[in-house]
Amino acid sequence: MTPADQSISNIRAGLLKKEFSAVELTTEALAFAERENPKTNAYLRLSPERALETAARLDKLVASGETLGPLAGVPVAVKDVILTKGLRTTCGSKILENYTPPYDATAIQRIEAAGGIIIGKTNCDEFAMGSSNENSAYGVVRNPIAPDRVPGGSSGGSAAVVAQKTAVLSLGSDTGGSIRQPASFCGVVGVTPTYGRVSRYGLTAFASSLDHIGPFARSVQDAATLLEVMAGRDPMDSTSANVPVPNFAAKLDGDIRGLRIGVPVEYMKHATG
Amino acid sequence: MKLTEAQVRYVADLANLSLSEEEIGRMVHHLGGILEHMDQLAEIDTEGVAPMTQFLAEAEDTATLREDVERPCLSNEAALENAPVSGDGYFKVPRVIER
Repeated sequence: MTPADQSISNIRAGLLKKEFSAVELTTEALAFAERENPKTNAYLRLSPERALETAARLDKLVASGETLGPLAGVPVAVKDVILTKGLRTTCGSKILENYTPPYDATAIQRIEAAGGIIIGKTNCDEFAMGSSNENSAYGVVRNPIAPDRVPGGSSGGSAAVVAQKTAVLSLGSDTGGSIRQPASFCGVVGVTPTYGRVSRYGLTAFASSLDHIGPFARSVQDAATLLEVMAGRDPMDSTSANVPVPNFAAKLDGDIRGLRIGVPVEYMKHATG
Repeated sequence: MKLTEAQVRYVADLANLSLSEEEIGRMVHHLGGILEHMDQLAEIDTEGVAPMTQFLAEAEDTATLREDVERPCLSNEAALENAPVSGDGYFKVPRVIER
């Protein structure tokens, strides 16, 4: 079993069939991430204490036969611009080298409430300002597919951990392409949701009216599930949209005949191959 | 609009930045270029172009407000935990208003 090589549904099935416990899975995911991370520098730090505590709580739910949340037992990595209570958050900058947030971002609260396990914080361009992850105060991130190349940015670490399988899911932030572009560079799924879909409470601002939190995953299905968990009105962010959250994952098999996709041809003018 | 050196010096002073003569020259060029681009955009005829929509376009003015109810918030102690220097319940920072 390579824990972070799994999907949300595999992990759920394994927990319910008692093939492994959440603590076992988390322990193995943390060990794997620690061993593999030097190849990419995608994680800035792991969070074993918090991860194992969350996993132990989840195992109690499993034992008592309670209904599990949609992200039960799933290792989730978090870009280091998103606040995690008690877990150092540097924004890839020496300015915040010793900053330990006193509260969790709403997205983090919702992920843990859904059974997700926060296993570490990922590298990024300093304060999310960059498109290659070469501008982190803590060193460049290497692309797991081609280590001599950049993973994109600014959410380069979050794209890399999912591609490297040292996490099942991760969170990034996007102001001008910082999720979409590294997802593309690393060959994973990244979603920048509509503005207001996911609360920005606890996201270090780059440009508030353009900032988004969004998911990385290895399948569209898993990205949809993570987005659904995070989405929805939050009283702590007055720009979060007060509109119902659809079941994104359930809509993935629909018919796309007649769907129109816009391509800005000006950008493609000089493309080759 | 053309940006002047005096304006760059004034903005730098407001931002508490000390710029060298060479940097001021560069900023006149770079910042001025952005403003000139805005002038170009302002020339575009937008008559009859429908405004781009966004998610709150059709919402009521009060859609983003919440009920004003008492609820717990961060303690003063927790809020100051990361302050390198604090005192009397406040962050202590170097004086910047009068220099």
